[in-house]
Amino acid sequence: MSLAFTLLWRQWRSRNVRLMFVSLVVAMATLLNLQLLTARIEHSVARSAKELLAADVRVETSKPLSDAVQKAIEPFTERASRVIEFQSMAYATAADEGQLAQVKAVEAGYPFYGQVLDGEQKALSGQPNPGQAWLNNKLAERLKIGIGDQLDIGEAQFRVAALFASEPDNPQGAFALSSRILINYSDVARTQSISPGARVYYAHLLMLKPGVQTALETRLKPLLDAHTRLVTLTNYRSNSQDFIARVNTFLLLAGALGVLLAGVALAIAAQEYTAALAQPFALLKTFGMGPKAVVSVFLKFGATFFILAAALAVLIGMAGHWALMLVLNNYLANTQLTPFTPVLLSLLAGFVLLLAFLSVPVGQLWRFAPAASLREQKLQTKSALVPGFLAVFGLMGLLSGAWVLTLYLMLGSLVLVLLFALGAERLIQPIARLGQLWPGIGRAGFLALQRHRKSNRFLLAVFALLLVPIIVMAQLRSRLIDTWQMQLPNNAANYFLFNIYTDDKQRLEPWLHEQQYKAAPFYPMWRARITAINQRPLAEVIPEEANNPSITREINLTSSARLPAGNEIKTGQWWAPGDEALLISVEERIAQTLQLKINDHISLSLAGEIVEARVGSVRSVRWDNLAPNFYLITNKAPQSELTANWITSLYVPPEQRTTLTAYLKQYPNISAIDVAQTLGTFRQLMHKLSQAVELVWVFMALAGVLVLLASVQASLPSRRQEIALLRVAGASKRYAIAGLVGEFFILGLLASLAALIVSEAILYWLQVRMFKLDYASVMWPWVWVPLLASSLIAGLGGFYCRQLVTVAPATILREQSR
Amino acid sequence: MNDDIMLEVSNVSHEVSLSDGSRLPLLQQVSLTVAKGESVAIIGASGSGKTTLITLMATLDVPSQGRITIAGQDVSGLDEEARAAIRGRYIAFVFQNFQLLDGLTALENVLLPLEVRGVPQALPQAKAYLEAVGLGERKLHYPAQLSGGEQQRVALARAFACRAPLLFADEPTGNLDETTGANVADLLFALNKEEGTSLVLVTHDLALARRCDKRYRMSAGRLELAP
Repeated sequence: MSLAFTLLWRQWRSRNVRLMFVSLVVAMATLLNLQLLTARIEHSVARSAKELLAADVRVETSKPLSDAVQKAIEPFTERASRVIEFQSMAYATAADEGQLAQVKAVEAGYPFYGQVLDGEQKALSGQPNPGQAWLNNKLAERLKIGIGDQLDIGEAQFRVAALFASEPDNPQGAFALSSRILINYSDVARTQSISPGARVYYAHLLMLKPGVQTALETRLKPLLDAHTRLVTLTNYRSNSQDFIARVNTFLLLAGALGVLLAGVALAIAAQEYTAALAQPFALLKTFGMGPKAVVSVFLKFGATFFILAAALAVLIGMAGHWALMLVLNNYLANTQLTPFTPVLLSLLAGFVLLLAFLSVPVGQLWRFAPAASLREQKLQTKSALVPGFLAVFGLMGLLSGAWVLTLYLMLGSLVLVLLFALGAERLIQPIARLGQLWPGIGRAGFLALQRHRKSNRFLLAVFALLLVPIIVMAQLRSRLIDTWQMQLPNNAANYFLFNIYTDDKQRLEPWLHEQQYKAAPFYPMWRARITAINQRPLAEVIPEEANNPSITREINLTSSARLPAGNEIKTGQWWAPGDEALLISVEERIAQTLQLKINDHISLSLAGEIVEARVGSVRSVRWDNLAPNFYLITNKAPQSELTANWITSLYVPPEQRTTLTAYLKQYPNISAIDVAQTLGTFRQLMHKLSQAVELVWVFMALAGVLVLLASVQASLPSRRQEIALLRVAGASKRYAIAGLVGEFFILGLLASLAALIVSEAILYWLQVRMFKLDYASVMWPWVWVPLLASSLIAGLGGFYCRQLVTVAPATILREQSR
Repeated sequence: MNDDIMLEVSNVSHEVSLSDGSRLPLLQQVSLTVAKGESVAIIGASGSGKTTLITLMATLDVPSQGRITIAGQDVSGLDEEARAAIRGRYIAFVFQNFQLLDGLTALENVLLPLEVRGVPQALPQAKAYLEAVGLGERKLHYPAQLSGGEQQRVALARAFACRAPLLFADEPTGNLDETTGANVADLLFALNKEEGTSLVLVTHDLALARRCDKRYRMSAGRLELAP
């Protein structure tokens, strides 16, 4: 049936077929690019997280691993490496210097992921051999020791074999000692540093066999207790993981909205394309082609059309992804990725969209009576929007994984469509009447608006639906980037100082002030264990949490008159100055676990003494604000401040680091954690991913503009005849253009305002529920969106109108009469 | 069964449903016959039911009641696939508004039904008929490049190239000026005589109708033989 195929293929010259083709290619290419990027980020995050664990999973204990746990983990393990961490005095014989240090003893294999890096960021291979010690640079400096020198750790002697700057894992967190030593696991006994009562951390680093993690978790769960826990990627929280989770959510959202854009474009194109099919197919039936043959021709064309679009989409999507990778180079470059699944998903999405929008018209073609060729009857194409609509939102839900979000977007879109379907005329008429008071050529747009008030309903809905994703993504991207920048301003704290005695504080605090270092307040810190609630032992109150180490261990407690930055009261009230009773404010997750209510009494064990405090408030804490944060805060010191250690954080300009280090030497007990390197990596990561977010938004905005362009173009044919008649009646070219431009400008304004209202509702939900940010509304989009959108739409309309006014009216009218 | 009868319409009635649920009768107990090689005109005012009748006779739609026989075969109860097969074998159509496809050249428009019917050597046949209607040199032109009369001549070539035994022409000169219409009419009857087709012509043009062997008058859905 080659001629019928030729007929369909000739329609390539029709702008509707081209629009459908472009829409389909844009949809699939956008989805492919986003899927590839998201996959890479997920791989990279998993890789980073594994480096932070230095293993697939870790089993951490406060005593040697039990036989039961050992036996349980063996079948799942590809390789294992044991780690012990303890504190011990390190003594440099030659310099006669000693320092309490954190000693980490490692077995062969450590680290399974990540690297121990020296000061020049070069990886140190392997582990320390027996008798060797690797020191971190800080400790080496403090002990005035170098490679080859002798070092005593506890009762054993070692030779310094390497100096390092960082380890991939630091499970004790920032509050482990900053003086660190790596030794071989077999040397632990020699040091004789592990005595009964010593605080020791044991870890089994495991590299698992493929696909067994869930089974391992299930197997180990009954064996875990207050002393033993399983650390996995999912329960290992870090600032960067939260941040990256938000980027991923943004990207998935972008993918979902990309589908919406493409869906709108396909809806427009498919409507007009299938409407134009009625005549040729009725004619073919008149000539003797049966319904099956007719549909078969159409399907063959559709298949060819889709294959070509798919091929082009894959090319463009992969090229776009390659360009994106150039920007993200170092961060994601070393991730291995097979594009098969993203390609398949994107093409499948495109196929489903095409099928959804064309299925109803093709079904009608099957049933379409050939007599329609005599009556010039048209296909009913509006009903095709229903399966198309369902397909768009089904795909959005599947690709984003966020069905609630999809539902919100769907409802928002429906509201828009209904708003215009039911109310557009009532909106347009008064505006049009008012505008007709405008003298001269200015009236032309309003007159055109009045004439097309029925057909403009669809156009308004289309413009608004196209603007919603662009507005939402633009606002969200700004909000995310601003939040990240607020979280990590350039002068964010880069040092933590703790283990500060009260006497030291009295000298240190003025000195910091004198140096003009930007410091957080000094907080007194006690180690407290919760023993009872309302005089009832903890095990009795919450027996199911009796073994939960986060409840039963010692927790940091401070006292403060003021609510610290980054803390927000959720229930109860912060205390007023002069409150006599000892009040306590509890972090919300602890409060939830302990089932605490306001005015409950908590018993705390502090240095052997039991102290009772009344719960005054429950608060949320921003743990990632680079300031000291506490689970428990009292209104006044629960014990003498002399018994407290103090903690603070501060920003030290890079050029003044040595000044601080030199000053702190007189306080050997004070630990200084330099988080600059971590911050630097984090900031770099943020910068790179912010760029990715920007690029994705630009890509989507371009796609949106393309579709907007196409929808403007698609609306013009209905105005061809009218423009020709106006010109026959004496209207100038200028008048004709002014009419179209004016009309489209007003349509753009109305669509923008509606889109902004719907977008604001969607943004509220996204910011608060999905991205866990405070809701922030910005006024300036209410200015730039209407201006930009209406100018763009009007400009496009004017551009295409130029073609209409250069062709002789007679030519147009002759075409129309055929 | 009379082998000389190409088309027989027996007591055909047809009605359509309106949006308010009521039924509108378009044809009432219509009967006619068309012999092989015979030309029949159906005349009547606009809205009398001529187009509805020709639609049913050409198997483009199914009558509400009655029987239509083509070459001895009852087509009234056939499904669309079977009716399409009948059209492919026996019927050609000329439309009032030409119904040429914009995306195809004149030659390709003529070729289209031949391809549908799987006619071998379709290309020379199509060219020959285009020559016959005087448009041999315009075969690569698109409909937009042809005048109304030229387009209708292409439509005639398309219809006759099928060599179908039964040709329906619905107001073939309705959209043409008098002179062009007369030329097209001459061509229609010349080709018809040459090919020996049975012709059913719907027209409101009495002069055209008089050129046919037999005339029927349609009025308010009823048909009667006209003098």
